[in-house]
Amino acid sequence: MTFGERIKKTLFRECYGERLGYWECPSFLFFIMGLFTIAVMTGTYILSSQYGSPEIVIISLVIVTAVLVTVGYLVTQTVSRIGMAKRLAEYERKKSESIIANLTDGLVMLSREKNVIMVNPKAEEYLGVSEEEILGKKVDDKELLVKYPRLKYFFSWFPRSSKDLTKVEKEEVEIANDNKEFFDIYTTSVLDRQGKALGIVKTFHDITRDKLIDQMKTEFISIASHQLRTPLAGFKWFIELMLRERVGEITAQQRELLEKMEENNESLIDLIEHLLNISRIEQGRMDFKFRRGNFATLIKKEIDILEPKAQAKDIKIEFIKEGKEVPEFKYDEEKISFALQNLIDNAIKYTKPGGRVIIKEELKAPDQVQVAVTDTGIGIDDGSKKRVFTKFFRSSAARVLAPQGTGLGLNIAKNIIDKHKGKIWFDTNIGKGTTFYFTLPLRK
Amino acid sequence: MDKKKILIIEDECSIIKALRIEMKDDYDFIEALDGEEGEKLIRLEHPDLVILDLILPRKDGFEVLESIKKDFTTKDIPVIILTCVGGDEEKAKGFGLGAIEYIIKTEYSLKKISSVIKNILNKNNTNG
Repeated sequence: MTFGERIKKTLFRECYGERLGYWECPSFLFFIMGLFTIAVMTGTYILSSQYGSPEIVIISLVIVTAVLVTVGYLVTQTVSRIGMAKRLAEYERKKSESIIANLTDGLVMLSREKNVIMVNPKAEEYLGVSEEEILGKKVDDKELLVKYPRLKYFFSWFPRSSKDLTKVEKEEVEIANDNKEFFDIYTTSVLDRQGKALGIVKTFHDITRDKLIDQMKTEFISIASHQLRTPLAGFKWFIELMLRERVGEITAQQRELLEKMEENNESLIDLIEHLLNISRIEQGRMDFKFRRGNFATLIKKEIDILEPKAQAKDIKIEFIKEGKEVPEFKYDEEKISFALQNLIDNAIKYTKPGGRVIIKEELKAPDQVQVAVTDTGIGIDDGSKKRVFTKFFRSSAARVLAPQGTGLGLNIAKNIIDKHKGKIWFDTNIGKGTTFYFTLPLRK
Repeated sequence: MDKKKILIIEDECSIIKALRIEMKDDYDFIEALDGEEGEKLIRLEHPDLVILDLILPRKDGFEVLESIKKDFTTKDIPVIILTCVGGDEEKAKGFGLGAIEYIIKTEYSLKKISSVIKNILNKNNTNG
């Protein structure tokens, strides 16, 4: 605070509070006018006692009157300006209040000490507590939490570091009661000009309906898929019986048709499997069983499975181990198998005959393994890059080369790698090929 | 030697038919189209093996499995769950209740199923 400001704060408190300059501050102006009047009167007294001239008294009176009028004018101006500013502020305040009160989201403002400063009606409804009961109280007060148990779901996250102050934290919260409720909770810090925290604002967005629709969709996929499996198994086995001539001899042409049927049936079965996997992931029902294993052995196993497919297309598969030996670590073999198979299978699918697929395993850090699956295939065009891992996405080139793909494999693979706390990404060059990378932490 | 007796508890006729055609030379088949009838036939016929679906009318596969595994006269009969429900939870429940094998219909060929059955019955033969 400067010296001038300090004087203003002590002597002209109300002007300091209203953030007025010296020449806008009525008390300062009156103070100056007082000093000036005393000075003029003293001057007049001295001069008139020396010269005994009545004109001097008249002139000084005129000067004092002029100053008085000017000061009066300035003061009136300021007072009316303050009044207007106050009315404007009042209007703004009412406007904000009514916006906040009518928000369809809940909003709570807390002080730095977590005392409730403001709560809107929607927040009262979500928290299950009225404004009078919570205003001014600390939201993590034990007694309050016992009385209003819903509070704990809404006030679980608070900024802990200075880094937390500058971000908007979003959490998804499930309220555990009979009828499930879900909320997105956003926490923002209110900062002063120096970046110091004044308090926080929490907004609550009810996403129960979205969640329910999502759940219903997932359940529908799950039920429909299960129902489809039975007739598909029937087809599969009947075709098998006919192809193996368990129900009489078949002609070459019949065999050809049956083989086509078998192929189509298998791709339908694949689609169903993928849909079920996705719905399991979305329902959080995919169990992960982490067991220690040799990773290179797993990769070799997957290559062996896909080797015939590559050979049929005259594609060479190579496996390279680079750097230090990867120690055994814990992963879910079945799920990682799926991800690996998917990446290698894609590499074969989108590579033209005569091409190459290289699988490289590398110890990237003492606690991280990286796998790269490189093909000499068609590459991924710019328009498709962003959506490669999206559910059901298939680029137009992919649709031509592998018409029976489901557009789900990479989405599932990403989910699996994510669940292992790994990363998956790719580099691509149109016409030259693509490399898919993924890393896995070496769980001990 | 007498043919071994297999009970299929399954409400989908095409599944029964396919299994029958594949293995009719090796085994005798009896069939039940719902859970209750299946359970009754297990106690009545004492089959050497049961192929059990999970989603069944009247009584579901888990209930049937639970009740025959509780009964000491039927608890040693090997049960293969052959189903279209394939979540990890269901698998764990099936094995937990005492199923010897859990097969998802679309994942196995008839040839593979018949070899699984053969293995189980042979093992039981040598044990017995």
